[in-house]
Amino acid sequence: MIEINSDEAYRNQVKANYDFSSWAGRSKEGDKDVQLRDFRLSNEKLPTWKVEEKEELPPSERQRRVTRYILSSSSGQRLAVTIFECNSVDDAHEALIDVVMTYMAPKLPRCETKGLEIGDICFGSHGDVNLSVIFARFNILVEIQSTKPGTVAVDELARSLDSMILSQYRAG
Amino acid sequence: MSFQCRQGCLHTLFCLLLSLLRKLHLVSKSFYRKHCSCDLKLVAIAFNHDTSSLTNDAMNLRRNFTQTVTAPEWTVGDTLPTDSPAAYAIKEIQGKKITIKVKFTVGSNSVTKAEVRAKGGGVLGSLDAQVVNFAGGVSVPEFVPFELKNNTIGNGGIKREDITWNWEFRCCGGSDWEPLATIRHRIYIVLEEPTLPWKQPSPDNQNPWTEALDYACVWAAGKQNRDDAGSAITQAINASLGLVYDNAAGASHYTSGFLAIFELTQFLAYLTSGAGLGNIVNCTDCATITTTFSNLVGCDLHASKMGSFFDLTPFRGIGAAGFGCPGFGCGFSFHEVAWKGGHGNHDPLFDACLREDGDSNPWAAPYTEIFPVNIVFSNNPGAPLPLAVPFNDYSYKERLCTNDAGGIGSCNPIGPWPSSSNGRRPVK
Repeated sequence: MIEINSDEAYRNQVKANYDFSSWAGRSKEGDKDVQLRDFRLSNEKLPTWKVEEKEELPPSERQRRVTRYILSSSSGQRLAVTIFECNSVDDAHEALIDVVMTYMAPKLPRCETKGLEIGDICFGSHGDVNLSVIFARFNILVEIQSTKPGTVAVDELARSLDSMILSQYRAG
Repeated sequence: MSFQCRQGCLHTLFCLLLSLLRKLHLVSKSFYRKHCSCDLKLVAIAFNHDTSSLTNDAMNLRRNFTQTVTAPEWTVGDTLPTDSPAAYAIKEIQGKKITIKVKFTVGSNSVTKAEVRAKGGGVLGSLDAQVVNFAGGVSVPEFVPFELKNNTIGNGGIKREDITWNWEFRCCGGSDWEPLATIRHRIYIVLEEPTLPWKQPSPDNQNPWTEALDYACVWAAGKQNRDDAGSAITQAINASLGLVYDNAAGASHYTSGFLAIFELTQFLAYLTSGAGLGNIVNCTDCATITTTFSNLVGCDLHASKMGSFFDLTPFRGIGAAGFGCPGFGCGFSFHEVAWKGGHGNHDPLFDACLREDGDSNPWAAPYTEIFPVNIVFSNNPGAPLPLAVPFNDYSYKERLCTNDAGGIGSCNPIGPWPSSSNGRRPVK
């Protein structure tokens, strides 16, 4: 189990920068008790992507499982996707803070400001397009990172993953 | 031929005669060998024959996270230098008797002695001739110690060298040295025992990886002390690996577990093929890469951060064409570097993530870039702000931050991330 970096003053400043209190603990669909399990990516679920690598990473106390995938597309895009299967919606939101407090950027833009409406909460990246995205839907936290600079956004994959999470929830 | 080997051996006279006849081309080489050779074979060579110590032999190694290296490192069938690696720590072996251990066989149980030597050997030097005893066709002891009397370890500092030993032998009774085998090895020379995250007790997946030594010993080649080695490695990471700063978010790409682990296998994949997790990095990645590779050659750095939420003067980020601010603006929530000592104000640091303005006014153009290597964090941390121009101190934070309370005044040493194993992230 990984020890979370627990400088409270720093963490509180990060939460303030991300306006945490305005979105924490809220789900757009269902209630905050939703707990999805075994959300996994595969070539069958993502026909336009190829799963190059899949690796289980050490979780913190907020997660049951953390899995990193490396996906590639026929167009040459190569993305690292980390799926945090958290214990609760609250833990997913706290885990989002756990992740962004390791970013050197003091703050990231909300995805909605760049035309990407996904997740219960979503932050994109600076620049013209989203080269990285982090979003939470229910108890699932997803971080998508480009592995090389460029001008190709990760939005398409982010939408697909959010749809897959919603589909799993709606399928009961 | 040594006295020991010839003693009591009437066969020697016969072989001396045959040798003379062979030089006159009156008998064939095969005829000479048939009567005077002993079909000696070199079977195995052990460099790290004592896994509990690195003072008289090579240190414990592994290839990578999953593959080990065990003695004897060379056995019959190994052909590439990388098949049989060995690493030596200059500080620990200095003035010590260093040995390798070698196993031989002979074609006949009646052979009891032979003489063996090796020419070449590069940094490990040639091996002086010595008599090897045999019983039942196998050397006695099974692994015969050969002292590296002619080694030059330490003369050239850190080194990665592929050496070749041309082994020769002559049997008891034989008078001519005959070729035995030509064997190549990859030898790594580091300053001293690698420090954490690297460990020596074996087996452990944190034993030094040869796949990482292949880079570290080249980046720091020839360096004779920790500061020069750390500086060379920092500059190599910043300037020669094709890495670029994450201007989109400043996120780490080569750590996992909330900054707990260094994804070295992935990083080596990037260095080898350009794949891995790609070429985008942040300061945590740069500090971790610098720490891990420097400590592998004997430095003693740790990744530690400064902060929090401070304003930046223009710098040249890793991979950037010129000076400026990151894509997310002129501020850092924190910054992380490879630090010496107790990561205090007066402790020097190494930053592979950026280059600073080294002129007498670091807060304005023009910019005269310097690599921030072995530079103290702050010469005068309590100085009233703004600082006066000209500013000529070789001092890190003053050249990173704006010259005011939101910059220099808000950037202070913090220490390693709690999850980071004291800034020496284990490698995976």
